Order: sequence, then structure tokens, then C-alpha cells
Amino acid sequence: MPFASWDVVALALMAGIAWLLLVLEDWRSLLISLAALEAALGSALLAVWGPTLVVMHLLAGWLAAAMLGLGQTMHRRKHPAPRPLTGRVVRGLAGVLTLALVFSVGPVLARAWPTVPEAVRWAAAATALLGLMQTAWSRHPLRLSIGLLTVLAGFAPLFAWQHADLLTTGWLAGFQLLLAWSGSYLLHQTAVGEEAL
Amino acid sequence: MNAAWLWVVFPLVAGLGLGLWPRGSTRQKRWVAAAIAGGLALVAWKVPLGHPVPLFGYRWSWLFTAEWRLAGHAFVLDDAARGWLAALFAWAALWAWTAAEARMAPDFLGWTLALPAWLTWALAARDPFDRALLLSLAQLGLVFLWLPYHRRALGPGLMRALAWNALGLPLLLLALTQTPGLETASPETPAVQQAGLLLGLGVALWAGVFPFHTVYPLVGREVHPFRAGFGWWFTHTALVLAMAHWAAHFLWLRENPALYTGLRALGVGTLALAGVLLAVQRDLGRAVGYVAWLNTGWTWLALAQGLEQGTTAFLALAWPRALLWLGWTWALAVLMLPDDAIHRFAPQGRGRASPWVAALVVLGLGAWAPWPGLNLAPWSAALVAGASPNPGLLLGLGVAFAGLTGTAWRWAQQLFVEPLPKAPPWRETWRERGLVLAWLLLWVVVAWMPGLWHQWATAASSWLP
Repeated sequence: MPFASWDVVALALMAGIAWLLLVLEDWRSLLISLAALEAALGSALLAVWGPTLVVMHLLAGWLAAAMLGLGQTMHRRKHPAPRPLTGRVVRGLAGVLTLALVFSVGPVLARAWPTVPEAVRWAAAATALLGLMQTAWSRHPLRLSIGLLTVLAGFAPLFAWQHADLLTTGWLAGFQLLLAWSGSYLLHQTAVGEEAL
Repeated sequence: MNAAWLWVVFPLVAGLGLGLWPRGSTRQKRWVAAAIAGGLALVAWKVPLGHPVPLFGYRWSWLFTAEWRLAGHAFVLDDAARGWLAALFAWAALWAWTAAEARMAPDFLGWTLALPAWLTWALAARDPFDRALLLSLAQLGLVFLWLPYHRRALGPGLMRALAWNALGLPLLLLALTQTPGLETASPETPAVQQAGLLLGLGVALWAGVFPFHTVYPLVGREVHPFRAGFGWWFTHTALVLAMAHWAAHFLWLRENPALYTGLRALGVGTLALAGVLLAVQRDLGRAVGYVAWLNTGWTWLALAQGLEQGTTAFLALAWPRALLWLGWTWALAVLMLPDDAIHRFAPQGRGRASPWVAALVVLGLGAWAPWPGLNLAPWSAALVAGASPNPGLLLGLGVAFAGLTGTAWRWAQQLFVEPLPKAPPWRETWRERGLVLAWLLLWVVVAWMPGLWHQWATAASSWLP
């Protein structure tokens, strides 16, 4: 399938939403953004995967977001007071620096995955790195799970451009779901969940 | 009948049923779990797979079909897999049977069937992607084993375990996407070096190799030692077998001397660092985590002997190690009674109320040490004999010895010499003393029969391609 200009937009959206996930505070906005990230990813994957695989992956991503939402709701936590603006500004700036880092390691990525289109490499690396930053930034199960799902979303295009298989995609979808379930379970069972998001 | 029905589907369904069935105590359910797991181990040990077995004078025969397919992907449980298959389910039976004295909740019994069944499925996969993904799903499932519904999470340990697993998977999968067509490539090929780097990083995250080892003390502090020990032992063993299978598949891995040099350095480094860190731990749970990490050092040292010898050594020493790990975590669980949270457990003077169990805790800790010139721990003797003696190895083993024996000595003082601050909350019973004695006898018999295990391990390692 040809690599259309829409795919580049979808890939750019992925990196943008990953940056947004780093900055946002409210859990509802976080989960809606995660669902949007999965939609952008699914749209980009249509360039290499058939609709069956894409729908499976997309549904798993949305279900994962729903599971985390359910966990957060069951946690019955009061809506946290928003953090000072500086926290978000610092995270946003760190995210911008990460994007700059991705541009600087472009040649390394090109050597590593020469068969993968350049836009895919950059979007994948940016999304994965922003997800990694999200994972490292917080000890809160919700943010951690969202960060890990963002890393997986970043890895998915690199993987998809090299491998297309029903069962492997099914396992990956299962992994996403179990990851979200585990995160949701930890959210429900955690004793440290009272810290702000 | 397909082998998958008996060793994958049946124990998975039975485990799910045992775990979710609301009635029945651990003491009642353990007989079911131990009987099923033990029966499956016995059948795997005795019945050939993939060949017809004559019944009633050759008029009828029974056949376990070795291969099954799922969406075009092959999964195989053939005769060569019987060695590790029998071991996995036999260990599961032992863990299930001892769960009642360790005061596990009834859900634990479900795990003793479901986890080995899932790992069997993973190891039966022929496609490396399937194997990696099934293993990662098993490791994710550990969160539910380690944090049963009646407990609250304490801190970041389980989240870190979740993160290491989820971050390792993409690295492994990306490594595997680069390897098709490069099975026999030279280790100097750039694509192979890149795949090797990704593979190494992924395995390091999954196995908690330094500097990712921090997951062990965190999980050790938060999780009941009996549950932690069970999860670590099974996933670690399956990961090692999967790694050996990958290494056997790729010439650039199995014929690469740098891999074995690196594994030896990793083994000695892990033993030494774990020994040092263990010696300075005040928290008992963190110490349990470091003992688990130290245990991985013996694995790396075994695998450093080469693919075939290394896998055989790992498997030959797996039985004594499994029994030691089971007995030690069981003794810790009994010593902690009536509490089940290790971070609240104060060991001072508890050995006076439960001397047999406390002695097992101290002896078990000491038995992990590389005792010089004393065949107390057969794995250390065998592995040190297998490794070429050099100053680095001797220094690493010396540090590990000092750390382990020093910690055992400190624990012995705390348990037996320091006074109890109040009346003992728990005293061991004669039944528990009998179990300590039975376990010690079994361990001595198993540990001192290296010939028998070597023969079994040689047969079991023929599973590698």
C-alpha cells in the first residue's frame, strides 16, 4: 500500500499527542488523548497492515484506555487539585527537548532501520521516547500505564513496517489489554494512589 | 489426543477454576492442585509424545500428537520436551502441596497450575515472536499472583516489574524482526550486532540484570516471599530455556565467544554485587529480593559454560536449586506467621519460638554461598569447577561468600540470640518440624545425586534445536 500524505499527518499527530500526554493533568483528558493516540496509530498502520489487523490493534488500544478509566473511577479519588503551571511547563519543555533529541539521532535510526520510511522512524522514536519520559516521571499507576502504552504505540509502527501477522498482532493486542488491566488493578489496590497525578 | 489439551488447556482451565471457585480452603484445594500437577508430571515423565504407546497387548494404542497449530503458527510438545515438562509440573506440585503450611490464600493454588501451563505453551512455540509474547504475558500476569485481591500495593515494586516487562518486550520483538535470514551470519555483521544489542537489552530488563536489578528488592519487600519465590523461579527458568533456544537458533550467538565471556563476567559480578548489597540490608524483604537476584548469578555462570554444557548444567542444578528456593521461602513464610507481610516482620528472638524453621532459614541462606572446598552446595562446586579459575572469579566468589555467610550469621544472631520483645506470636508445630526434616532429607538426597540429574539434564537439553 502506498505511503500517503495522510499517513505523515497521522504520524505527526502521534508524536504531538504523546507530547500532550506528558503535559496534561486531568485523568479524563489523559485517557481521551490516549484513545486519540491509538486512533492516529491505527490510521498510520493502514499503510502497511490490512484492516483486520488494524481494527484488532485499535480496539485493543481503546479497550485499554477504557480499562484504565474504569480503574480510575473505581479508585474513587477526588479530582486532584491542578498542579502549578510550572510543573506542566517543565514537562512540556522536556518533551520539546526530547523531540529535538530524536532529530539529532535521525542518522542512527536510518542505519538501524533502513527499510522503514523516514517519517515512520521519527514519529515512532518521538512517541516512544515521550512515553518513556512519562513512565519515568511519575510513580502513579495511571501515568505509568499510559506511559507504557505510549511506548508500545511508538514501537508499533517500526514493528508493523517489518512484520505483519495475525497471531503476533493478536498477542500484542492481548499484551496491551493485560498491561492496562494490570495498571488498572494496581490503581485500584494501590496505597500510594492519593498522590496527585 | 493432542499434547496441548493435557499440558496446556487442561491445567489452564483447572487453574482458573481452582483460583476462582469461591468455596474450599487452601488445605482442601492443595490436594487437587498437587494431584493434577503431579499427575501431569508423571505422565510427561513416563509417556512418549508423538509416538503411539501400545495398550493391552498391542491391540490398541494411545498417541499424544506433538504438534498443534494456531492461525498457521506451530506449537510443538514432542519427546524432547518431556524433560522440562515433567520438571515444571513436578515443581508446581511441590509448591501446591506446601502452600497450606505457608498459609497461602486459596487463589495461589490456581496459579500453581495456570503458570506452568502458560509457560509450557510459551516454550512449545516454534515462532520466536510467539514465544517472546507468551512469556511477556506470563510475566504481566505475575502482578495478579504477587498482589492478591485481599492485599494493598505498598510501593513501586510491582509497577517497576510491570515497566521492565513492558519495556523489554518491544526491544526483543524489534531484535527478532531483524534476524530472519541472518541465522548463520557472522557476529561482525552490523545488523546482527544491532539485533544482539536489542536482544541483550530486552533480556536484561526481563531478567533484572544490573542496573535493572532494583526490581528484585522492591518486589521482595512488597510481596509475600512464598508468592515471590514461586513467580520468580518459574518465569526465570522459562526465560533461560527460551534464551537457550534463541541462542541455539542463531549461529552468531551460539558461536560467539564474547557471549560466554560476558555471561561469566555477569555471573561473577551479580554474585559479588548481590553479596555486598545483601550484607547491608536491614529490611528482610529487600534481602529476599537480593537472594533472588544472587540466584540469577548462578544461572549466568552456568550458561557461560557454552550452549550445550551450559544448558545441561543449568538443568542439572535446577532441581536442587528449586528445592532450596521452595524450602527457604516456605520456612520464611512459616517464621513470619501469623503475619503475612514481610515488611512488618521483626525477626528478633523468633528462632527461640520456632527453632527448626528458623534454622532452615539460616541454613538455606548459607547454602547459596560458594563454600570453598566444601560440597555443601553442589551447584557452586560444579560451576566453579567448570569455570577456569582466575583472580576475578575468585574475588567475586569470595565477596559473594562473605556477603551470604555474614548475612546468615547476622540473621542467626537476630533469630536465636536477641531476646523476644514480647510473647512469641507463633510457635512452630510438630507437623512443621516434620516438614523441615523431610525437606532437609529430600534436599540432601537430591543435591547429592548429581549423576542422576546430569543424565536427566542431558536428555532434557536435547530439546534445543
